[in-house]
Amino acid sequence: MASTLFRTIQINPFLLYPTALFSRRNGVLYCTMKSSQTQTATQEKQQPPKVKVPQHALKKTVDKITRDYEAIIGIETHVQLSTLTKAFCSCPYNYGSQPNTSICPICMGLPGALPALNSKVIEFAVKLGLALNCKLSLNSKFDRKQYFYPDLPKGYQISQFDIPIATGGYVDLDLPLEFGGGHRKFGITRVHMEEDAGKLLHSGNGDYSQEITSLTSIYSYFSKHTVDLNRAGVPLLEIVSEPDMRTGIEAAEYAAELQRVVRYLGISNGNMQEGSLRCDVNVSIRPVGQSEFGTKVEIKNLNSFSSINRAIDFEISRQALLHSQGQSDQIVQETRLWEEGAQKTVTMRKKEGLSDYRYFPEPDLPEVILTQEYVDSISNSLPELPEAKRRRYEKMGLSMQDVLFLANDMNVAEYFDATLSSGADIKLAANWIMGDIAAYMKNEKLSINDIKLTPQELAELIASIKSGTISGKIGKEILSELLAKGGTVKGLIEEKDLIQATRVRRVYPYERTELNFLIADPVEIGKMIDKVISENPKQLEQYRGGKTKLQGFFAGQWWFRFVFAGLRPLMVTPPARKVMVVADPAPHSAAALQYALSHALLEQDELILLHVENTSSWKNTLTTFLKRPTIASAANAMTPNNSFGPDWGSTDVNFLDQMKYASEIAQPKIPVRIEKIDPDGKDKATVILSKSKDLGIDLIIIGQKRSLSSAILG
Amino acid sequence: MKNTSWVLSFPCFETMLSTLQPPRYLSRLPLRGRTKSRPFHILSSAQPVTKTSFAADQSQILSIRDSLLNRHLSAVELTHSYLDRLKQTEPHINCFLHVSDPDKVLKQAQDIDDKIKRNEEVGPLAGVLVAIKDNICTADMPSTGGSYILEGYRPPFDATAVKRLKDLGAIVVGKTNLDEFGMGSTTEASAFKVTANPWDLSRVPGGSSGGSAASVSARQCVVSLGSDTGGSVRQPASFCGVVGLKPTYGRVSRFGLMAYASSLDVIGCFGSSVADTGILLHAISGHDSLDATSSKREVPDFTSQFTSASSLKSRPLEGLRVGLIRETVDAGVDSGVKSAIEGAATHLEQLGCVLKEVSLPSFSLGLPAYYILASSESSSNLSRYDGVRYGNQASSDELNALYEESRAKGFGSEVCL
Repeated sequence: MASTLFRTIQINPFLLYPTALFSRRNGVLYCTMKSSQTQTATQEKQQPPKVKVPQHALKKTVDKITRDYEAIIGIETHVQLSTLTKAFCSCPYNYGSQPNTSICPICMGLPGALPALNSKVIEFAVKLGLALNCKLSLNSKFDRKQYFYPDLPKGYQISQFDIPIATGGYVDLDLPLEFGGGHRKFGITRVHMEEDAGKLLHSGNGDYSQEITSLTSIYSYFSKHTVDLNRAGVPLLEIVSEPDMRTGIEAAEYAAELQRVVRYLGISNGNMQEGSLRCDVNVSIRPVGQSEFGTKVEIKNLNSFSSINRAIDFEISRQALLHSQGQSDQIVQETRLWEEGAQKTVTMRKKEGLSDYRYFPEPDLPEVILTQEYVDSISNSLPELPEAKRRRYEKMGLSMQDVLFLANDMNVAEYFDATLSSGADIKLAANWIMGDIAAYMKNEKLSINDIKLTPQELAELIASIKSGTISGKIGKEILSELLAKGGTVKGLIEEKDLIQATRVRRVYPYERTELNFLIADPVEIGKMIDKVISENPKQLEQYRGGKTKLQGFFAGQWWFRFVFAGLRPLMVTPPARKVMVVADPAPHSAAALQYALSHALLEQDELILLHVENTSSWKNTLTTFLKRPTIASAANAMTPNNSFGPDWGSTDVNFLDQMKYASEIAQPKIPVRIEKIDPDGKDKATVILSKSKDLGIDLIIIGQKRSLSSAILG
Repeated sequence: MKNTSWVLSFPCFETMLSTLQPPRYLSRLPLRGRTKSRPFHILSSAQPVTKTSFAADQSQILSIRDSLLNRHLSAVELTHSYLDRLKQTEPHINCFLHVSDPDKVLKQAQDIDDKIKRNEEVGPLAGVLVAIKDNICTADMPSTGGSYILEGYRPPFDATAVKRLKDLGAIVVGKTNLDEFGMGSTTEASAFKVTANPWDLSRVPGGSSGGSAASVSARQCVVSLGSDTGGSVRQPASFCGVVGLKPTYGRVSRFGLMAYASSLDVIGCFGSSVADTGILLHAISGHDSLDATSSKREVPDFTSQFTSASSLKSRPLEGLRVGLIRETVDAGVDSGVKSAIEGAATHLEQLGCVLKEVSLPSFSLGLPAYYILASSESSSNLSRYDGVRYGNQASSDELNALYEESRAKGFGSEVCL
């Protein structure tokens, strides 16, 4: 959803300060740390399909049919290892280099050239085998897999056949909460080492990824198609899963967990777009209750976790539909291609029985013999793996959402751990990292290793806020400085003279500008308002009775508390609240909403937009402010004096809907409700307060117009 | 397709020598001044050799070195004489698929002469003309493996064995004919020409290293490299009357040898004496990081064990026990072969060996095992010659047909078997 949000935000004219929306953790919960590097299944899942499939009508019936069937999913994953040189020669491999610039007689398979194994490949394979809880073969070997294809220079691929280096493991993962959550354990059949093939180049349009899907008419390819052998001989680990997955999302999460594991181990960049992590999926279905497997279909060309998910779900529906129509014989063993554009799978090639790869032991390479000491030394050097990290974070008391976010990227997890070891509060550290820091990284397209703020200083910042030295608001300001420029919290506080006590003394004489600045935490302020009101029932009664001068009393009470009691921002996760924003077609109201969305609202909250139909103060400024690109609003904007005219009612609806729409886009998970109330001659503040009591509102956010009193109650 | 071991195996030797005969005196060669014997320390200069009894007259390589260093002969003169002989004999024997440009060869010889003149160190094989079997890659000349599919192919690198020879000062005189990719035992299966036996031009030189054996036999070069998968060095050496040496698998790096059956292939040596062959083997032996199957075992100094024939006692092999494998002289073996083996056995006994007949019950399994390995591995090794990268690409509309036709046109009948 995050990406949807951001995409929409850039074109949404509602926002004065688009960045403000990025700062709340909900907005960035599933964001990438570094867009080119990190992707998670959940994030991608939320991207809307590029092309809508005209399947919606079918969807319901298909859902019904699929309920009667169980899908069996197994995945073969190829992980490209980030060794400095290729598997059997000393050529470096860099993704994206000019074709055939990183080749030698060995990886070109020239006559007489022989492979010599890069020992890093063994090391990485052992690392992955151990990380996937596999049993390692102390004596394994390489085999040749023979087949003809123009991108295979030797006419065979060096692989492992009957004795893979690792077998019989498993991988643990936690499904994200929005997919129902839950822990899963999927079996790993084997992990083996092999070399990559080259790539066919299609000189016409420079599209290097296109594959020849049919062997016919291939000769015409050769006139314009050539082979790039840069990738030939690059080491791969193939990971074969047990057929343990049942849904697209499980499969996508399995692949995402493998990506995390290889990145944690530092054996691959795991980047799917570059082809560093490739998944071929096998899907079959069977009626629920049946024990034997159905005919399996292989799906290729899955370039992202979301395509894994969607391709599998499509394939399950396709097969289930055929089953339910009595055409299960049309499910044949074949390789199908996922077409991202059409969002469907299509036949690539039918398999004529099992391919005979004529495997035999590779005579050019000696056996791979591991000693127990070697395995033990690698085992001892393994980093803490994602699963262990998640369990540890979970034990710390973090929510599963936090756990999944923090453990997703090893660098983020290490940053978090370093912050904690500098003495920071667990939950606060998590919130800062997942909130403002993640948003900053997203905006600046940085990874956590690139930011200037050290974990030690983050811990210092958290401590300073916790101890009350600075407010949360000032903390955020300091944070952005630290992120961009580095430095120390203490240094910045001194440099900017931001110590809260000093500040308070200065603003004491009710300087309104300063006060504006100090309205730091609406949650806190809202609570204080509630408190002030509830502690002074007599005055409230009088106020309601028409003694409007008591506004000043309330304001003073609140201000007193603000200065002397409410200095510390609230940083615990509050329970679900009802947040009310007083909605008017005016900039201060828009600002209040924006403030609520970016600073006050949490995921579990509910937003109520309350509009008091106070016709006397009506001004059609919000529409102007929104700069709605519709003719109607443009006309309104140009003729503000017409606001009493016949168009008036529709404008009313317009701005409320507009606000609701903006809220839903900014915080899609938060339900938004519109309430309208007629003041019926009463004071607006009274109406708001009584309405908020009726609705059981926890927090009221009101835009500040002119005076202090109107900021609170106006 | 392949002749199996023709010679007795001596369990005490690391290598197998095709003949124990002392080298023929090379009267036809225009070499001068083989008079003085020098201390022999070719490849192990760190270890001074104490044995001085071994004379240069039993090794052409040593006598060449001797003559050059004593300035009795220049490398250019020597090279001229070989090139002349090559030019004279080649039309009749057809040993070479490619002969190096004489100017380039003479230039290399001149460089050696210049170095000697300046009293600079020259390599132990300086001035030694070497012929290389055409399935061993050489950077500056074609390497076809005797196959039409690689016609005109020039590798961008030297095989490790060739590189070592060049580093030691040897001059490559050309690429010798062979059965296509080493598959054959007569050198008739070459795509390009048929090599004759120098001793009788109507006969075959054996194979597959027929060109290498015949070129040494015809004195077109001093020594040559061949390759042996199932007898391809030993058998032509025997046919051509030269010393052929098939090293133990792994002793010599296979890097640059076009693979036939990778788990059996070795690069072997031809020379006109045991000493030359030993010196050549020593030059090319040793671990190579480019060949994972090459042995890391230390290379012994074969030359330090050379003994001058004149210093031998009447029964020099006294006490050596030799096993005669019963299965090699059993039923099914040609009577001529059988009598040759028996003759060799008698000769060994005369030299003092104790011969004992032994039985290797698994012997009969050797050939079937060989055929399974050799045909499987060669099928795999030759699959890279698919017409896509090099060789002659057949024109076809369909990929599989392209493969089939390119290979049908490119490979000869022996390979297709």
